[in-house]
Amino acid sequence: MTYFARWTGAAVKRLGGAGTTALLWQAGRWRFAVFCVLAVLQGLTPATAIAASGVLISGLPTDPARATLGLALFGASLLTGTVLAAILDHQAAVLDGRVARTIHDTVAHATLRTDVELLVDPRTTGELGALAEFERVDGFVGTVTALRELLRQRATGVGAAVVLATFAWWAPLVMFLGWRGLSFGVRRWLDHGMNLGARQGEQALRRARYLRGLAVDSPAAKEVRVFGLAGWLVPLYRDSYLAALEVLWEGRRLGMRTVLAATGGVVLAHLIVLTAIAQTTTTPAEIVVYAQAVLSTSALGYVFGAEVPLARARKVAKLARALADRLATSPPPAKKTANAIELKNVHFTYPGRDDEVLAGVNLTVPKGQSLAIVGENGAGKSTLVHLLCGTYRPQRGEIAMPGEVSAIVQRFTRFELSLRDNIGFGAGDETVHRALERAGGLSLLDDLPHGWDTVLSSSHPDGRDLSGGQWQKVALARALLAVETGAEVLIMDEPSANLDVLAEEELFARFSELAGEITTILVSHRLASVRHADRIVVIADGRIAEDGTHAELMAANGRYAAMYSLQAERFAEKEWSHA
Amino acid sequence: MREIRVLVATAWRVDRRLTLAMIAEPLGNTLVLMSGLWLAMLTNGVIRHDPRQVVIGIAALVLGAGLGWQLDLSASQWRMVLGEKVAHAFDTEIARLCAELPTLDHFERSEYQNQLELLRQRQGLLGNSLSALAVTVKAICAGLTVLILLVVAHPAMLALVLLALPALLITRTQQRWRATAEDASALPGRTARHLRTVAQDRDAAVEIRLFGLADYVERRIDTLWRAQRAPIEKTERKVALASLAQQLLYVTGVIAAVGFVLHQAIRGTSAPGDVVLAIYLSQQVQTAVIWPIQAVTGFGRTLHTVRRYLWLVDHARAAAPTGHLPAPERIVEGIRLENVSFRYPGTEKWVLRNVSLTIPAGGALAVVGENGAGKTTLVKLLTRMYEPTEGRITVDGTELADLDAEQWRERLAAAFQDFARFELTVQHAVGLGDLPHLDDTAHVRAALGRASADVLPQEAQLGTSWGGADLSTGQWQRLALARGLARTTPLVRFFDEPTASLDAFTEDALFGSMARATDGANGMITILVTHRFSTVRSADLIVVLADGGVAELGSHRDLLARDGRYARLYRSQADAFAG
Repeated sequence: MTYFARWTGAAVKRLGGAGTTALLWQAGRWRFAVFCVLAVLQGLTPATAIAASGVLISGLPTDPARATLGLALFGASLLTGTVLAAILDHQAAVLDGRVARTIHDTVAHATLRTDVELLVDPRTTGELGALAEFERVDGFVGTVTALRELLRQRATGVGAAVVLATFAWWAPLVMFLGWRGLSFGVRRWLDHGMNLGARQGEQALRRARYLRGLAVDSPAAKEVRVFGLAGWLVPLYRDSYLAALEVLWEGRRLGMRTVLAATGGVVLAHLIVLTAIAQTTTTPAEIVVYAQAVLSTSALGYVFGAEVPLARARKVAKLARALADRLATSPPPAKKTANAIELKNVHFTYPGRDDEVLAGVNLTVPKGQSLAIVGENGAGKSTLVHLLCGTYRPQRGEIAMPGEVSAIVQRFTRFELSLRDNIGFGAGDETVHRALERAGGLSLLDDLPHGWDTVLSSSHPDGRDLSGGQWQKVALARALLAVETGAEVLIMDEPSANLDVLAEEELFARFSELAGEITTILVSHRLASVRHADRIVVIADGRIAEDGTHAELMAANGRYAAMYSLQAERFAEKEWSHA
Repeated sequence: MREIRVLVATAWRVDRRLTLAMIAEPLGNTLVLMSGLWLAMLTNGVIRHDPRQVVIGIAALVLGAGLGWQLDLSASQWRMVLGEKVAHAFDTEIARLCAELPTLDHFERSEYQNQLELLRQRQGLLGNSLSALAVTVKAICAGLTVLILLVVAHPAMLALVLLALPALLITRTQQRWRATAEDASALPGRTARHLRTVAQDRDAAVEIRLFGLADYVERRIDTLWRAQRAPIEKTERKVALASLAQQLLYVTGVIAAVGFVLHQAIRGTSAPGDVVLAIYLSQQVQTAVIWPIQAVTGFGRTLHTVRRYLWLVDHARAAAPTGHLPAPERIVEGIRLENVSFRYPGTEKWVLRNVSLTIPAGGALAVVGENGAGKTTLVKLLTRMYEPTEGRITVDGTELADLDAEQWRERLAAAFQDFARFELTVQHAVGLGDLPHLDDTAHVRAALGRASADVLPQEAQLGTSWGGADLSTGQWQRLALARGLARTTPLVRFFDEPTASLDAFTEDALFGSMARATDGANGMITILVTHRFSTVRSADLIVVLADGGVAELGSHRDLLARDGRYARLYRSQADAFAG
């Protein structure tokens, strides 16, 4: 049985290419092997029907018994073919689904676990873009149907060739050459087209599509209207997409000479064999059988509707595998644990950039302290947060954490899942309930038609999207749940940008309740909230410029004092002038 | 039939040669379909020793094979290219229509969202519809050819058509089954796609790693995938069984038909060639009947997409703003809102109710209020993304709705809290704010300076997925501000919570430059939407919105003296800095 499977595998490999085979095998195993055999059998039924019709005709007009036998054989082959077709139809649908799933899983498995640095690498974005381009064509569903069609056709062709061989040994050879003469060329041309498609998908097409997204999708909608950008963006999209397509068309163009040569070969082969048949055969049965066999050898040629999807499947399989291999990373080194957060001489530069964002940060945060990080835009605050979260690793220096980290990141994810899953991701109902309660978000449930099971997206029937402030509570609950299950550090990175003042105050109040229990780190520009932290550090030029309590930093009269005064003055000045 | 006309007209416009080729292809294909006839002719010729019939038969067979191959090869190429061209023409048009729609209805209201989602997100849909049209024509031609041949072979064979008729019924039922299955799998499919996108998303990557969500997300994708495929696979089994039953019936008929002609031949009333033709044709009848029906049904489905497109065309025409008066070059008196009310068409809830206020030329209006109070709607009315449902807005006495919308917008500038991240060069990302100066480096440098946004060289590419720079939220916001400050002499400037992510220094500098620019000679009006009261006090006029109505109106001093909602909120924020 193993031998049989290996043989099937090898046969399919020739037809579909190595990457596809591995993928198909992974998707279906024995089901797939049996499927292939049935597809070949179905492909052979036309040949048996041709042979049967020969028997039938040869009984004419004198041997009715023989003719009836021929009719019976003819009928049997048709019926067998019919039953096989029904089985194969269903199985193809099943296997097609599994192949698509295997591709998706391969990619998702890799992207979910790889280093973030690798994930944001332009090369990865490009390859993911190319895969998305291919997915748009057929959703990765259609490979097995195409393979079945090819197997069936090839079997039909081989069957016809065998029948034809009984006429003359050279006849199938001539037909084979006639049909295959340029098939290799066609296949090369196809693969070339797909490679070109992938390359364009990685860059030019993806770029053009991005521009179209700017014009038609919601994030830029208001600015597109106020600044009148339609007239600039749309032609830019039109021309760049067209330019990308033209490269594709140029590369896919089949020269007229190629087409004529292909046709010439086919015509010549038909002419030679058909003339020979007409000249040497005498009985109608022979003519019918051989001429039909000649016509059926077309199945050895280029199979329309099957070869293009298969070429695409080959490319997709190759892309997905290569991507998964490249993204596969060794698990990160065991985190050094300490009693406090300890950063020693930490340096960080973004890949591909020259300037150091962090240039020697030294910081020790004892357990239970509440720390605030402030600084100008671009000073390195968010980068520091990324390093503390372990998203990036420093090029130089050491980071030790007292335990797991939980965080409310600036752009938290709005999962199109239920409220329960958006917080708990499979955690127990009680835990999730408590987390939302601690985040002060139980009132959310009043607005949700299905309570905890409401999907938080307006594109779902019965779903409900939340406002910015409500989402923030979900993100807070998410972070608090992690604290409850053992995280020792809670980081909050500019959480109040989308909140109105009341919601912001409420959020900070919740946050400060936690201080003392665990280590908390707050990154914010709202200095009225920051001042209550145990300790404040100011980041400037990639280093820690100031470090102390609010009172100490105000007394030091440095950057922090300047920033704080600017914000406070707007009120103080008023109170003063009002008084 | 407006749909077909639009489709063909577009194809004709983008490429006449290919359109003609597509129309001619089915005609060439009929020659291939007539192989049965030539085969019969060859058979009869050999038996009756009629060289003329033999030569014609062989010549036609050879020609048919050659032409068929060449047509297949070329036509698949033509279809692909023409499909891509047509798709691109439609996609550009869709992008233009969407981007030029004055309102944001299609993002904010679910009924429009559903109509447009497919057109907006899936490019290339309309390219398939042209292909479907070509296939339909081809299928109908093929069907007719086979039917004519059938009559030629033996009128009694038309009975086979009757046997093929149940297939019509079954095909229709099967399509209904499939449509139902697709509906059932749409929702899990969409959620699975969302989660797969999340798995690749760089922002989500942080939370996925922090909270250890990789396994959970993978499991959910898998469950959703099963939920998506289950109805499809179940239906495919049903479809296959129905097909099998119908096919068995038909094949029995074919065997009977061949048996009938065979019987005639044995009795000598039919020539052996007729038997050959019967065998050949009987297997084609079913396809000849079903294929056109399937093609027409499939084409009907794609026409649905064209109908959506036409809906968009009509919708865009109806939504086009009507005013044609030239927009003023300066504001002399001011902008007046008279009893302005707004609710989205077809909804009951008033978003703004009876708002009346006057903004004097050269003045600054601050709009404050909690989330959902109607602040942003006010901005949308003044930028003419919507027109008031009741009441009117006038500029120096002229109704805003009578002004040419495009000209009016050319005189506006805006920076929004939910700004777009244009992943272009810095030069273009900022230059977009003043399109006529898009490539003017000095102009953009000045705008960058006004927003303290000169963090990167102007020629630098933005966005890591294009190999460009990665910016923090604050830096992106500075660029958005620079874009909003690019037009030097607008009539109205909108700042919708423009400093949410900015550091204290930048915020302060910005208010400085805002105040300076307010002295403009053209009567420029500044409208600041915020919930940060520190930034409000410099405004000439403050309006406090609550539940869509004006709760308080006056200067900072007036409102503090009134000791109402404004005073209360102001003091609570001021207190955060005090002590």
